[in-house]
Amino acid sequence: MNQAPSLPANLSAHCQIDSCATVSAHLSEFPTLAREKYAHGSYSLPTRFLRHADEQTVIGVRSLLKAMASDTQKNTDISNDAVIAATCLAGQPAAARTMIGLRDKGPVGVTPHIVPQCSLHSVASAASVGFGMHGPNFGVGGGTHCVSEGLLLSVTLAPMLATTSPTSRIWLICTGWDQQPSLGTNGEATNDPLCRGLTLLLRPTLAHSVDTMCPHIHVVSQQDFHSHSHHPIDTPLRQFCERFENGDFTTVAVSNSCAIEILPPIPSQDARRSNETVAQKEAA
Amino acid sequence: MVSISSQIVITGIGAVTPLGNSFDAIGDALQAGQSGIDFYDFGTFSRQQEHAAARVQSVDVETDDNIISSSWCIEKSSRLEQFTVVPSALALADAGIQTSSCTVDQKNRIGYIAGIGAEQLKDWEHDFLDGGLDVFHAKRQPSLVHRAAQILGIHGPAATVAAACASSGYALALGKTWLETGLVDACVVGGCDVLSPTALAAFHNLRALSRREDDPKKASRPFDQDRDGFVMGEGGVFFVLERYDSAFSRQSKIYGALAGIGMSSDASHMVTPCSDPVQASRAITEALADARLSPQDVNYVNAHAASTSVGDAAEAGAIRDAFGSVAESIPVSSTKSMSGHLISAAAAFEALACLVAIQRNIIPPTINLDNPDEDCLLRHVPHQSISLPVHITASNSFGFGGSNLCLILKEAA
Repeated sequence: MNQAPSLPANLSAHCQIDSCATVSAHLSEFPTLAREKYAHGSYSLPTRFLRHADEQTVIGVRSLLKAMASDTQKNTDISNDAVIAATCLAGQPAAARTMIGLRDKGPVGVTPHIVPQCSLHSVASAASVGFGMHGPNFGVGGGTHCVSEGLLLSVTLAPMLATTSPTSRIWLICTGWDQQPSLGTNGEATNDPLCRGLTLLLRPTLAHSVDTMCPHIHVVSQQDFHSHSHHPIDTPLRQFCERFENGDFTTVAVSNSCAIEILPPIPSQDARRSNETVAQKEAA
Repeated sequence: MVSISSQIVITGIGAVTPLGNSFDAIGDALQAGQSGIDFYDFGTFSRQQEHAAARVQSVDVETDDNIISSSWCIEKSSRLEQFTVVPSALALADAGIQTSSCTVDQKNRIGYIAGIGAEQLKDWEHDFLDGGLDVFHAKRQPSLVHRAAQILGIHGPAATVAAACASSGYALALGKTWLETGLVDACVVGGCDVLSPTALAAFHNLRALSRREDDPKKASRPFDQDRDGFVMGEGGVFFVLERYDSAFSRQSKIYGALAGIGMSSDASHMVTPCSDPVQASRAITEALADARLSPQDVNYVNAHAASTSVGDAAEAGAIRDAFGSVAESIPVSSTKSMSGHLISAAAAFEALACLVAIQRNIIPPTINLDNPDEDCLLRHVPHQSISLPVHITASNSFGFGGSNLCLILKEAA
């Protein structure tokens, strides 16, 4: 190893945030949500596209559509965009049903949908397939560090994307439950937890052309983030959603040596009002 | 040409696979055209009495005590954890990086990216088959890569990535971006997967697995007109990536350079590969462009070809589209005919096969390729390896959800 390691302060990875959106829904709402029509402008999901999808895929797609609607770059072609989905313990209810099927009926009781629809890549792939995005699509995380991992991989993918496909952007979709579903041994839920989705639409930007007054995201070295209060690497998605809804500055650790700084867009009055309504409904 | 000092090179390799647990053993098997596939009994959850599969026979590999934490106990770990920790430790040792001797700053500058497609599903299944109830009351914890990082003394950034069967290839590609952006000085990258009853049943029910019941070693037959699906395998393959200047200053052995990466998506179907080769071809073209190479520079293509009817033909079309007239002369083979399909670990295993080709100047064969399918016309290397100078290779990987990936690996300057 190098005795004098180079510092991550030299990092060339930056993204402007063109849009961000948060959504949430309770477990009991998903059978209805999966059957809804998902469309924005000229983009729409094929009918019944989400019929086998995991809850986190449904909420991820909803947050993506909301971010699409508030994109500051209107009418931009998304066909070469990349999708990164950071999920936490996705597919649990379907996995439980699959295990029950395996136990009770043997291999014929295992649904073939479990692999394509309930794996770590599934949310990203559903967005890519559903909306015709031909840039890279992959899943990230799986555990409690997923949002940090998603932010980091988005920012570090950006320079390559800026070179190979300069007009492409990155849709970072983060999903997770506030509390994991609690399931009986028959697979039925015994609680009704809230599932959240957060989508950031990121535009890769060269370091020298970053407008630091605009919403943006970038990697900073440890010595640079002491001045700000920063979140630990396993910060729950709920906290990110709340900070984004308020337009608050956020720094989140990604390792001992570096962190991600996020300056989110300031939400519009309408978005604030909509978020407040959701919060009131949830409280009720 | 890319300047030598900015090249990303491979300085360490660790593997536990159905074809062996070292670079040399795997190289010998590939060169000899040896199959790692056999019939195995998966107990009461087997659909058939026995399944053709490619299993890891043993993870009993000597690892460096200066890398793996003494508190880690292999016997108490799941196979998924074993297939992550052991090859990662082997790769670090092979690269001459003893984390216990590194300074805090040095440890902070080692990254870790694991391509694992369905870690939680495998964990829940493992627990459930042991009589546990984790899947009903899921516990939140960091993913395996973070736990493995602690065991290995890696304190830099860590992440799990998944692009189905291309997962470990994405780990290599994203590791390259971490080094190029200056995030880390070294990065452990690769992937792993394990055979399990649920995975076997799910892929069988998708009609993706071979249903041949005669000779298991004949079941995986990429590009052959009698192919009828893939054979599942398992294993873990990890590499240490570094910038050339860093590896040179350490006087480290260099296996080859990860010269180019290309990634795209079909955006066509959640399972079936797109018959239009344009996006798969684009991944190959972008990888060549990233490496600043032309199609005629490539000496060998390691195909993803898993032995499925649609997938192999689609890939042959993509190779012809990307390489143009040169495709007729570039040797192509699928090492899945010998290793089986290692799913999340497949792309890393096949990158290793490319390094074998470069080091030994051989092209590993596609065994069982008795009658090449007319829809898969390429310059195949059937049955036996051939000797040819190999300087530059392309390795394709494609996954469910339409993920396409191409890695360009070349000999070190």
